[in-house]
Amino acid sequence: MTSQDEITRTADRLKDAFGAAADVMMAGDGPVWGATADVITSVDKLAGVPGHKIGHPWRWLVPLTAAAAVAVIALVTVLVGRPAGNAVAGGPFTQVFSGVGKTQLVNVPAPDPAVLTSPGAQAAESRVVKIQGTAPECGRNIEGSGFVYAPQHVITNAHIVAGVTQRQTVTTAGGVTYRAQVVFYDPRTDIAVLDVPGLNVTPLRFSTQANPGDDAEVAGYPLDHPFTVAPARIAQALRVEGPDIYGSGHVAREIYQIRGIVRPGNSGGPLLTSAGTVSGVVLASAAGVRDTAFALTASEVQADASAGASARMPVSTQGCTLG
Amino acid sequence: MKPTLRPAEDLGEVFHAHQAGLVRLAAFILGDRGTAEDVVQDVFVRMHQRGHPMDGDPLPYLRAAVVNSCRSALRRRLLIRRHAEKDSPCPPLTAEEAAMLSEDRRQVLAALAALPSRRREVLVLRFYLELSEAEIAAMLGISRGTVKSTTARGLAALARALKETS
Repeated sequence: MTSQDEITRTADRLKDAFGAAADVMMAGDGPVWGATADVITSVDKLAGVPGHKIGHPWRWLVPLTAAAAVAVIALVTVLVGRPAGNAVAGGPFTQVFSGVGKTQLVNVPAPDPAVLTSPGAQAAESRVVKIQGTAPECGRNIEGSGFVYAPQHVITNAHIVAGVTQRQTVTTAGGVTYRAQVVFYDPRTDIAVLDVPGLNVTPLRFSTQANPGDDAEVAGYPLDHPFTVAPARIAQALRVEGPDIYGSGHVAREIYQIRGIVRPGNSGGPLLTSAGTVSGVVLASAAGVRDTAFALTASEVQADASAGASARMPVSTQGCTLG
Repeated sequence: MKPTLRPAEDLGEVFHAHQAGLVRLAAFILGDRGTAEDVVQDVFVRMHQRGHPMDGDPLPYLRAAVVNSCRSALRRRLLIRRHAEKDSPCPPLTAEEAAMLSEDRRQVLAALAALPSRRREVLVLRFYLELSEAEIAAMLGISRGTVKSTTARGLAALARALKETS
């Protein structure tokens, strides 16, 4: 016999396996068009789609499970040593990075789903957008989240637009797609700003008042899903050091460790307070540590946000990331 | 100022936005990526040839068309494993991709791949796309009751298979 508990657990395991498998498929490097390239080429000509490029895998959404985690974990590892394995249940503190330094993940109570019915979540929906673009140089599509934070300006992670030179678009939860241009690009902090003419949406506001233990929401467009809000809880603010998104140089960033499920595609979206202000920009999930993710703090992104808010001139998105 | 694009007005935009996601959907249902890519391409080609009028969000139509084409592909036994997936412990991933997953997740995907196709199809729609029972019923042209029972049987079979392997 199979108990109801077992059925529920099986459903959870299945969802989890789908998410992970979709992620590696997107990151994979397999032959994509192969034998059927001719067909897609004819569609291309008619529809104006560079099929062989579009078809290529997006090594990049990996950021959220792998690459973004790499962004953080790698930068922590460079300085601090290597990840010491999974979180251990029980104690209030779990040492996940050993070696030099004292970077520790802390445990906080599970997120409270009630936060999703707060006015904050509801108001945010129209301001959080899906970001897509094509980086022909490395043959990949990149997809992530972002949000309106100044008139006709959207903020996201730099790794979501890195190397993109074609079809940079922003799509609202209502399904309206706008052409967008990167007007500010900071691979050190991992922040980019897009100018989106015609996007007349009231901006979300930043708030630097978040504290450990606070309820929060992760809002964005996880892989193959429409606009999604997930409950989260702020665990702590951390100062981590490591390289920029290209793996070079040395950057110190202030990030929040959060408890909550962050999925591929959430990168660049807002970490919202229950009041609907933005306390951070979702950056990465922790590899191998369940329910744990990271967001750049509002204070960390403030300088970049101000610099990009009124920028109108396109800037280079440099090259693709290594992910 | 007319910077706004209605996605429905431009097949290229629609392709750009949805092709990769649709291939993942088809790959989970078919257990085979090569066929999944063909199925999705055929859907777009047909859409282009017919000049299918798209009002609003084209994704529900596209997903239904892909699921239908997957059924035809399975029915016509066109399912020939290509690429490296035949060596994979859990299609539609390649062996290399499978190696990036934990043992637990590999077991789940392998058990899924071994299910009868109709059950697998419903489980993919329910737990990958997270569609509601009503949405699945509408897409497949079956009753909600059938969606419910197929989901329950599929999960139970999966749970049994996982108990045996672990």
